[in-house]
Amino acid sequence: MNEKKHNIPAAAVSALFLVLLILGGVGIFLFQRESSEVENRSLQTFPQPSADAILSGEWQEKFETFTSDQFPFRDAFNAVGVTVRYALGSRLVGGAVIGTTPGGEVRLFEEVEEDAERALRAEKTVASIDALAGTGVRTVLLAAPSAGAVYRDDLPAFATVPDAEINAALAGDHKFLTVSPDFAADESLYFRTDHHWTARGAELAYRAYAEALGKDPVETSFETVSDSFFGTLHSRAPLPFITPDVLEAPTLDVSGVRVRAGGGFGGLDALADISLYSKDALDAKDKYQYFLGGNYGLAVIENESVDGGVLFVFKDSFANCFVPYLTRHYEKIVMVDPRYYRGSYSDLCELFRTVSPDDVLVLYEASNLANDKFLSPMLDALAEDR
Amino acid sequence: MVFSSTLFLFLFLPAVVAVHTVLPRRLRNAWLLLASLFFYAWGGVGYIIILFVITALDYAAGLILPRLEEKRALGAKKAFLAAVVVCNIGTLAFFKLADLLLGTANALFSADLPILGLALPIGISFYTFQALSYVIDVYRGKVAPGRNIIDFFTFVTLFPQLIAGPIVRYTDIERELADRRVTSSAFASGVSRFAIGLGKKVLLANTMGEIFRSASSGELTMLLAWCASLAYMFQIYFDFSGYSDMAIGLGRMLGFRFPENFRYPYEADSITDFWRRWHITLSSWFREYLYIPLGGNRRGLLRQILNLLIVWACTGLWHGGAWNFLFWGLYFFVVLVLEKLFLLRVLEKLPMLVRRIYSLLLVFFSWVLFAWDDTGKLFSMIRALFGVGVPLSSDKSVFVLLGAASLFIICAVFSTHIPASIWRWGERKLGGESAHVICRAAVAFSIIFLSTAFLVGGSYNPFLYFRF
Repeated sequence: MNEKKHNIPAAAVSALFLVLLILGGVGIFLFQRESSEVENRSLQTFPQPSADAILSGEWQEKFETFTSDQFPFRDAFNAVGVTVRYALGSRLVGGAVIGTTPGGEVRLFEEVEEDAERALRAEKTVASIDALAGTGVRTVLLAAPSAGAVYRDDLPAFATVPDAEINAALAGDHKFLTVSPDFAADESLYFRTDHHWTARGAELAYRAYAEALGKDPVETSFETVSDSFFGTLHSRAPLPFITPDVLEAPTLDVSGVRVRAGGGFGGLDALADISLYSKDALDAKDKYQYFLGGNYGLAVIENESVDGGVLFVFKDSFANCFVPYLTRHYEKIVMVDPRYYRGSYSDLCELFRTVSPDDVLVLYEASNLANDKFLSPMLDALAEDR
Repeated sequence: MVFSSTLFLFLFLPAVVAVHTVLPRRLRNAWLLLASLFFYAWGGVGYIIILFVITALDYAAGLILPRLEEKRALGAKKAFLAAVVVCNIGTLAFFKLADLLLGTANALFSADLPILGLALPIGISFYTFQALSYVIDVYRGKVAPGRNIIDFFTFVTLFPQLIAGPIVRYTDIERELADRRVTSSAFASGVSRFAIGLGKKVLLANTMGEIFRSASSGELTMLLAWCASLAYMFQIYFDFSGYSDMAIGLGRMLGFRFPENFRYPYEADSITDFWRRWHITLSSWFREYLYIPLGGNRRGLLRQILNLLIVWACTGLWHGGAWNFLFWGLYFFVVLVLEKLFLLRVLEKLPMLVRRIYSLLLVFFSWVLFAWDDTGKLFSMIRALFGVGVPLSSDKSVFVLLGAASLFIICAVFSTHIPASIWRWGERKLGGESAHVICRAAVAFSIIFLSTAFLVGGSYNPFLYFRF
């Protein structure tokens, strides 16, 4: 290589290299963000140094996270990285499986991780539901299929189709009633950028539920509440060419409905008023929280315009956009989210006895149901108490 | 601190390099020493003491050895060198092997000796060898002992090569330590070299690491086993040679010329050839300071084979305190002896393609041995590679392969000299030194940009040679 002592292009390149890196470095300290809208998580801000934290290395670790979390144009860089991986053929980025709808749009799915324990957990959970049904209370299981099971054809080639374990566990006879809505792949039943079903998907499930229990389903239409919803899967794989989802809500008459919710500690009295639909969530990133404002350990929904009927629901977030439909059929709905429930099992047993439900509904997304560790012990405690 | 992090790339590197460039020459080594100690202490303050003690010991040894020579106390000189070598290698062996031996003793004699659980001080395998090369060279009268303690400490702790090589010998950079200029041409070529290394590490090695991880977890199939092992083969090459490239590039920005460490090892046409191309500074270190002192090939065939056995057992264990690394070293010992005895002569008569396939397959299986320090996993992986007791393929296998295929091809191409040859051909067509510099810079900046995109997204970023 010809090496003159100094040449102007080489000097310019050297200087530019340092200047660009320094700009990046300075940028880390400017414009700190507390959280990332796109990634839907809080970001590491500048960590306060202390002698202890530095000696233990904890501060250094936080500082390294800080430099990558606060990196200038982080979201744009991240999008570039994800796009390059996609372009090179990867269909699994950041735990999101990247598929395509028949219309050519991107549909994201949750990764189905291999887990040898899942089949066992699914069996155990199903057995616990069976045990509760065996105590004589009418129990319904509504396992919403995972998006990957509904939109198999949208999955990339050879991707694992979810729900095998739970379907195996559900084969055979059980004392509970199984409601399996027929999700003939209408594209509007699940979001493309979020793992949840839409209000339309939930409505279809509601019809199946009402039919199974001999109730007359209410007719509803839908209104668009947001047309710029990028869900949690989009946070993991923020491909720039993904179009946002449309968030719809049913136009139900919910004038007489009162909702109270909390962690469950302290029973029904400790619950605070919330509303079925949270307008605030529409300004935030995770717009699915429009339904009920998120997940609560314990919630009670009462409808004074309905006479009679008590329902006890064990649920995950899929219930949040489903349960409004049920307000027309039950005077009182008690909802427990086992992952967030902070009260004691004995309080829960007492609550269950006091409200004396006519129906029990277990409503989970199928893959959540198979992965869940909290539901089974809770149901066992209830069954034992009866 | 690793090179492939936003912390290093955007804070440490520009600060250290910029200040180094503008400082008067006599202050540069002190600045680099300071920076290197900071770099080392970042990950944990504790182990810096070991680094310090070993460096101080070897510096003192460098001062004492010539005195003994002057007094013609040759016996004492030899004994003193032996003591220093034992201290150096003893410390290294203690950290690498103590738990291995304790654990093995527990397993063999069902004893209950406590396992120490010591974390390996980062880079100890590299800096011990570097410092030792100095002591032995002083003993041999090949180098004059360092005049300046700061220069010597700077040599041992120099952050570009401190934790993952190349293993720079004192003689390699003696002159530059005393006096060096940073020309803009050298700096610019350092930028390109650094960027190439960064890209190898972040874009290729990390991505291969992800493929290795997903392919080797869960139920194995024959196809997955091959995908996983191939991904590992690429990962370890791009990880390690990428790190060496970054070190060499950083060295150039600071006015040093570090020795090359890799020369397209996957183009080797025999295993003998492979070890002239892979981790060159390590094999030449062993050659210079172990194999030749043992007598090399000058004392008959049997002695040569014994010498090779010692060298390859040490090479294996140098890579880690686990039995699989010893087996890995012995595996190469066996192949190299066979090649020496007759195989090389046979290979020479075969077409190049056959020789390449022979070498690649042997290297491929060596990495399988290298990758798994858990014997159970190792055997299930080997069985799976031969399709014993596992299905040929599965949906997941094809999914992994489809996601990896284009990257495998890219990695295969970049393992060869072809991209560099095309580049040189392009440069010949495109005249003018200035145009070359600008083109190289454009590529370098693009690689840095893309690598930043991959790094900032918080994707998988392990570093294999940290363990060694």
